[in-house]
Amino acid sequence: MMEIKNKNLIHDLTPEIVSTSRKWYFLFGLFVVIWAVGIYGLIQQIDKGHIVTGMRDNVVWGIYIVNFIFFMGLSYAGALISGVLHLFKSKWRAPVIRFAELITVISLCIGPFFIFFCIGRLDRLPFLFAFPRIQSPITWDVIAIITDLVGCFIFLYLSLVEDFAILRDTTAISIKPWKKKLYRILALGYIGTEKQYRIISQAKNIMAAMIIAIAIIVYSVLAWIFGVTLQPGWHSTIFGPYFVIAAVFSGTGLLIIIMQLFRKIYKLEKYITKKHFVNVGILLLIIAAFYGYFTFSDYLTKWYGSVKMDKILIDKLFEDYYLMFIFANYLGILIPLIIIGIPRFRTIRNIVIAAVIALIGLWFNRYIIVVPTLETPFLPIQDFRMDFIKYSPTWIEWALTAAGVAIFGIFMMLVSKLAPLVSISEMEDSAESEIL
Amino acid sequence: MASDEKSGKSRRKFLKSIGTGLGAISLGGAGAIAGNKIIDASGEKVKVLTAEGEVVEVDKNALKEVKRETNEKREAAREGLPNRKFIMVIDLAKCANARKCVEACQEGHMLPQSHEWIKLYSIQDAEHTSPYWLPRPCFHCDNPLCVSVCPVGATYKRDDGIVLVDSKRCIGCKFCMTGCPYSARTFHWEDPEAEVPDDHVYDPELNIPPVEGTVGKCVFCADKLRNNELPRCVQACPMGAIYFGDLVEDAITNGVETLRFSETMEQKHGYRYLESLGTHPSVYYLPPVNRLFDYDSGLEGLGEQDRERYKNTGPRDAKK
Amino acid sequence: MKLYRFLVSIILTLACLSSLSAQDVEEPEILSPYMEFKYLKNTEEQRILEAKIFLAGELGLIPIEGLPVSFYTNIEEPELLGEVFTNEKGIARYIISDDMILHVDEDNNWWFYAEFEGNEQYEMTMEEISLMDVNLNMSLEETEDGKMIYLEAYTVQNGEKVPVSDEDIYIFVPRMFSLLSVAEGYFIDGEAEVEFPDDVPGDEEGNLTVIGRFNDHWQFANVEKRIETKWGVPASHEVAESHRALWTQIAPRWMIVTLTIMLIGVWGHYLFAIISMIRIKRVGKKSK
Repeated sequence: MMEIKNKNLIHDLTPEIVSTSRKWYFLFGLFVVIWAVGIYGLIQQIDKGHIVTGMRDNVVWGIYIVNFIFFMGLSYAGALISGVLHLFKSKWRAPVIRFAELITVISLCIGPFFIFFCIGRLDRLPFLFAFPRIQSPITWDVIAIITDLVGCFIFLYLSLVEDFAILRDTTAISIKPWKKKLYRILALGYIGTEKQYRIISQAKNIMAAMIIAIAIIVYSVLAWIFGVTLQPGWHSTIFGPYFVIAAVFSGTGLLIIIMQLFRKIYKLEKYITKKHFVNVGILLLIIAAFYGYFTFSDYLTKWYGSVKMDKILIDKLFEDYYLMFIFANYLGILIPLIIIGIPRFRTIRNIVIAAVIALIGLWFNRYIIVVPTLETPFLPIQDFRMDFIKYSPTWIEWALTAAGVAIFGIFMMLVSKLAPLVSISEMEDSAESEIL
Repeated sequence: MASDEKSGKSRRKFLKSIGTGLGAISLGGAGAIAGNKIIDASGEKVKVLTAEGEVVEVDKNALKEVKRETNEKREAAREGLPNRKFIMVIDLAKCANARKCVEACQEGHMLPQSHEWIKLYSIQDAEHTSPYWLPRPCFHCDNPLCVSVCPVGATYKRDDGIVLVDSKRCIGCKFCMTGCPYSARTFHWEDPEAEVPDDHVYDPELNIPPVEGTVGKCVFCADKLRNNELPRCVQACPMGAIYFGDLVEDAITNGVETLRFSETMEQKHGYRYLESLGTHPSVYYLPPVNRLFDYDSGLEGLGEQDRERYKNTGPRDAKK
Repeated sequence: MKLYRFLVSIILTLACLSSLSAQDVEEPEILSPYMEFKYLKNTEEQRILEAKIFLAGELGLIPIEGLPVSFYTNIEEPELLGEVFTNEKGIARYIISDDMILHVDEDNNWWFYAEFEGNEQYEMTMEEISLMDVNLNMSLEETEDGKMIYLEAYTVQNGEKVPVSDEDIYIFVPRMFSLLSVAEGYFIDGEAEVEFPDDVPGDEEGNLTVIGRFNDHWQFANVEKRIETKWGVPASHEVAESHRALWTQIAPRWMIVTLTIMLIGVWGHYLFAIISMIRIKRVGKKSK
């Protein structure tokens, strides 16, 4: 039998498992509507062909690929917070890691779909597995993403086992019988014995290390899809580490936002305190500094050397993409640095605002990495059609972007019905060594 | 009726997209019925969906025949011609933007107007250099980045140097398009609506009909090379600016005159475009010296769209 | 009344006639093709007449298949030699039989005439050529000075051998699409000596065909002699099956090794985690 000392934990951390609030249904419905609009757009795209998007012969990768990189980047929340903090055995991580792991798995599930939207012949997708070419970065990406997905899933599951065991045995709250049965199966017969605890800890430690390694590899492979081509702006040696840092940045930003969201919705103020926001915020600060450093380094060397194509690209960034560039590479870095760096500004609200700005800035950053390069190829675009010269996304692409965000919300909400969003077992463990 | 056709087409596409698999065979099947092939009827009938959206019954052996021939062609296309290494030499002193190469290529490969496998650029290298016309086919590089990045091997380089695309395997990820630094590839964003005869066997060397959702590019008219004929652009150029030949034989010809490749390179200083990228193209250029036609003659007689195309051409950083 | 009816009938008749003539104008336009007429005396001394019929299209020449071409000779009294249909390349080829003796005119020339009569689609087209017969001989010899080609040419005028003088002759090598000119000779007193260059690529063993040819000559049209010999530089282009690069079918070895090691490493750990989960379950059952 799994016994926990602090019964309040179970009450407070499982609001949606017991019953579904009206708020939940409303929000869920909203997400489903947004998602349905996206699906309608997708059907239009499959029917009429990719001509309905804004992509044309020069800018062949548009915001689908931007979203793909963005969502894959969000998965870094799990790698950093869960994995690294787990290995460091930081005490304060307890309420936060469940969010992190969920963000990881869900965004890893959503990301690849954006590639599918970009593929011209979806009916030939199995060819990736039937005729793979090892020399292609896309094959590396397929292998890496599958590996990452399986690994993160195993890690998430391992951390859920104890909670499932607690929920299976608890009488503190009333859980529907079918859920009880589900917990019984999923808990793998965990009853908290010495031996079981040892096995699961060892497994979690190993998986935590693996997650960090795999996450770095996955994101580097993704960066190399761009880095190994000759295109100006992409053929940069810094791309591997740069993308990894940007991904950690985005994952941390999203984590802060999710923490605040669920803290407010489920009244978890007791468990997720300002201390947690400050700690994750400081992580955000450090990552922002690194990210700013990498960005500056990349553009400085390009601008100084002024190789012809690099110069044309930078000119284009400062002319056509001026606002996006300033937001992504100045505001998106400086504002989080200032807000979190100066103790006077460090309130929960401000930290969340910093995270939102960082996240939006990162989406723009991906956009100005992908699109302007494709608009400035080595052989100039000499065309009379405006849509071949300048890329502008159509409603279908925006709708599918929104659908991706909606699906994220949908998955989060569905998971909240089955598993506690804050890890009960971790809170219990950390409470034993520290009085809350 | 147009609406019936459209609904038929979207129905066909929908079925394709959920992968019935019969879609590909059905065209061949319909063809095998209509084509005058004498095939031993196996007696076994198979239901297939024809291109018009009808369900018909076809003898099983007829389907196999077209499929077998198609697969033979696809395999032969990967082999190529033995002991050859094809090269093209374009004499920039003779190019006057007549655009007949573009039209001949589009006609031969059933391309829509918007697709240009050989493209004419107006290039001015620097502020004080003179502009010239640059015909750019696929360069069939010896270090082809497009081939390296293809995840399914739909594009490949043969021993005779030609790089082809197998549009029955291409998944349309467009990685090859971002890999090519010369923007040589085009993508079929919508249904090209090209009709082929019923008993058409797909051959990557000719690469018709164009397939929606796949990538296409200049193929050095590999189908013509098998019959010892020159590519379509070479034959169509009224100035004789495009020469084609075999590096092994050391000879190039534009249909009228035949030259030794090594001599031409030496005497006229042939070069390759953007050599420093390390792609090793198979297309060489002869510099535009002692030009037969001046640059402005290339702007005469252009349609409005083409005039629009070249409006702002000049040195790329001339403004700064 | 009578006048009115008369006028109406006149008007109706005119209307009918005009509509008839309008119908005449609606007939499909007849196209006018071009003809290229060539004479070739090949290495076996066969005399070949080739007529090519084509249309001048926007994008090059369009050959026309299936048209009957009649070949004639003898300018004074034209004799029909034969009729041949053009093939898919638009070429009608007629080989004059060896025992046919052709009539020579006062300039010692043969006269040939090719005609396509015309049909509903295409207009009539014809060409004529006039040439003098020349006898060409070629022999090859490898000497210390190099690879030498010895050519002899003479015409027969009034029963006497007249050696050819002051004429150019070219040495060709057949290439994939055309003939490549590699050397040039000059006839003096019926003889010409040409050195064949050392650097002409042949096949993998160096075999090639040496062609000595009067090419589109003003007087002799096309006359050639071909000899196959091993005077070429051996040239081939083979890419080893085992060649590994980024763009070949087989990946470089280091790539495969690295990938395998990484995958085994990572999935091995996953396996360990899954086994841990199974162990937990087993321990749980035992403790019950």
